[in-house]
Amino acid sequence: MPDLEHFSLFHLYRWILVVLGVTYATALTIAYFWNLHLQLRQAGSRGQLVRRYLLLHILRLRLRRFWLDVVEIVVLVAILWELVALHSAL
Amino acid sequence: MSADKPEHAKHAERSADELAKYARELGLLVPAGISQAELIQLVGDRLEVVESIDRAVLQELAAWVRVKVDPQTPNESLVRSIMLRHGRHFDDLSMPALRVLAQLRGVAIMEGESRERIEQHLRSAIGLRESLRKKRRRLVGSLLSRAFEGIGYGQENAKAVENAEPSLKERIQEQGVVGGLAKKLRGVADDYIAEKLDEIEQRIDYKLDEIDRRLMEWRDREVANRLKILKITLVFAILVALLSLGYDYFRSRVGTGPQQPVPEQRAPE
Repeated sequence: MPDLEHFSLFHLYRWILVVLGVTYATALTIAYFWNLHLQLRQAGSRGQLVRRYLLLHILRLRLRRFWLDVVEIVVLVAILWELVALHSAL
Repeated sequence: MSADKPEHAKHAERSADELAKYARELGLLVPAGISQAELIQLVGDRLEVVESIDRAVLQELAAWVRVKVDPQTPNESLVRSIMLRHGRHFDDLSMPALRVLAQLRGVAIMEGESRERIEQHLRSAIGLRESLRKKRRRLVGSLLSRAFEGIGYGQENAKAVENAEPSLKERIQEQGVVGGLAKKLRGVADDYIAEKLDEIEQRIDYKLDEIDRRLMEWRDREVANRLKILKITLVFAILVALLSLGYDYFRSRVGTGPQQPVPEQRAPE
């Protein structure tokens, strides 16, 4: 018999949300990188040119331009971490 | 001599007219009624003489007739260019070059002959008819040069003198009106094409820079969008976490929390 006394509907919702969200995000990320790999693996001078150009663009990317966004994301992650920690403390 | 055999065979393949023209270009006088075999022999002997000439002297003569000297240009080609022009001013030439020029023009000079005498022989070898033709061409060249000064050829002529290239007047004098003008026009056309090619190259460079700039903008915009999406996701996760925390708190306080024993009230005595 399941322990209905400690059953929490919201707990179940959180777990379903986490499993679905993580699976979906992982599948999307893998598909994106796989497509990128297929596009960049082409041989010849054209493929080499595209690979080098992409590498050049990555190297020329300046994160200082997005420093405010990065700081906001770090703060939001810290808040989320604290909230998760509060759950276990409660 | 065995090396000359293919050369002779090459000349033998030419028609009589072509061979005679080639012989004249090398500075030979081709007598009327000469047989093909004699002409081949004449040309072969001439080429041997040409190959034996000092390269430095030939280069000096080429510079004198204002022909650009390429290290790969063979002696025979240089001689043909030199023989195309009949300059009468020999002041810039050294004595060896003057002797070689006389040899090429078929002027007989004695050993130890003075410079003035050699120059005189060379001038008289040009002939009255050639001399008159050159004077006529010089006059026409001078007139045409003045006519073209109005459209910028004056400056070009000055530039040509600086670059040691023959001016329009000299070209007409050496090659005639049609040949001189054709050469000049070809040079102008070449300059125009080179200028246009530079212009096209600049436009292509500008377009490539523009494409690169747009790609950089697109990349930055894309990164900014991804960061924005990440922030929205985090905000949503925090809201859900807050809701969950509130629910847990409410549940622990009200729902299934442990029942506290109510203290027993005593009746007043």
